[in-house]
Amino acid sequence: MFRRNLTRLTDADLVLRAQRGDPAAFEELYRRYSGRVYALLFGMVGNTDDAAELAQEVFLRAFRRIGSLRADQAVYGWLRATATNLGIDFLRHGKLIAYEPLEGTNPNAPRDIVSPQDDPERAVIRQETQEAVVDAVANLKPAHRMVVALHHFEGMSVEEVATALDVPVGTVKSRLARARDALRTALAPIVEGKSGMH
Amino acid sequence: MGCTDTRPYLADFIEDNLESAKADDIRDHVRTCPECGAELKALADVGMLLMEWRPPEPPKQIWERIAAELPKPVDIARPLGQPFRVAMAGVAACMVFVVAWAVGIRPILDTSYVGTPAAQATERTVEYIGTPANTDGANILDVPKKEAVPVDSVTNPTEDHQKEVPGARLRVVPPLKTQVEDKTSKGEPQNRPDGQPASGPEKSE
Repeated sequence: MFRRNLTRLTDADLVLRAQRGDPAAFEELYRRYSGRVYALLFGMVGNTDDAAELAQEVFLRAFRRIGSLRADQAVYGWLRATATNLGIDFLRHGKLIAYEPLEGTNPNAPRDIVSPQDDPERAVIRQETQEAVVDAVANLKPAHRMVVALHHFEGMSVEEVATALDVPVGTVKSRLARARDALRTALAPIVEGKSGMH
Repeated sequence: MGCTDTRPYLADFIEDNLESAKADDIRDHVRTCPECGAELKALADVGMLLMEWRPPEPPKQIWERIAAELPKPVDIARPLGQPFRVAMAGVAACMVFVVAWAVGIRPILDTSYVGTPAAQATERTVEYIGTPANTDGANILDVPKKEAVPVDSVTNPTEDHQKEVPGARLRVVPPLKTQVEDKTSKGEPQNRPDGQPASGPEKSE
């Protein structure tokens, strides 16, 4: 089947095809969700190389275990759970990684989402803000960075984060508060600049 | 409650991580303290700034590494190439030629052909219907072949087609056209196209 036809298939159809041994269907699933998985892992671990290595492991595990996935099961929920567990393990134990640095990548360079409608000056400010935020998050303590990634970037509720990390809800809230304090300090020029504009 | 006591709890206040009594104290102070109010707003804006967070694009090498570890792909997603299209065109051309040969070209090229399929259908054919009745050693194939008789010479094919050919268990099979005419004429003799009355029933030898 042509690639353009694969893009029209539902996740459930792709899972069924992948379970029958169709790598093209699995590649389409990768194409759909690799960005989100990678973003989650980058938010958790704070650097591109570890995030890339973990994302690779997430999808390899997904392929090996695709037979156990029900077709009606949410594919991304499954991938996110795998990614979260791998990210937590990595941050707790600092292992898994035995990688070669990826060539041609600019570590921690944020994705350029400058709107074409932005005027040049505004575009520069926006780009600088994005880079500052990415750096500030990357410099958080791992435990704080993890809750920020899961809660703010992934949109999980505080209760879901607590379940994923196997910690009390109060602990998650406390970590979020400490992360907020740290980000407030790291991003002081930007925050105060924004406050000054209001 | 003063500013020094309030500031450490502002982030927890935003995250809804305080006892209700403590949260009420913070709320009351912030309403009356512009500095703490500004700090509370700055902390809240951090949440807005996090919406600006954009991770880098995943490197292409990730999929390359994954693909290297997957089983050899059955490349059904790959578009068909030029060689395949040429081969399909050849097959289609062969099929067209075979069909043309069967329906049109073959009768023209075949020198033994004596008529169109429709004309042949109006002639009688001899059909083998069993083993030879004679046991004198005569081969069934030695039986003289009955020549085709034009249909318009048949006057009563209902009798004619039942007769057996001596020497072999053969019978004359009436053509389809004759059977149709038989139903309409109820066995009445018919005139030949040339106006002459048709002869009687054709007898097999």
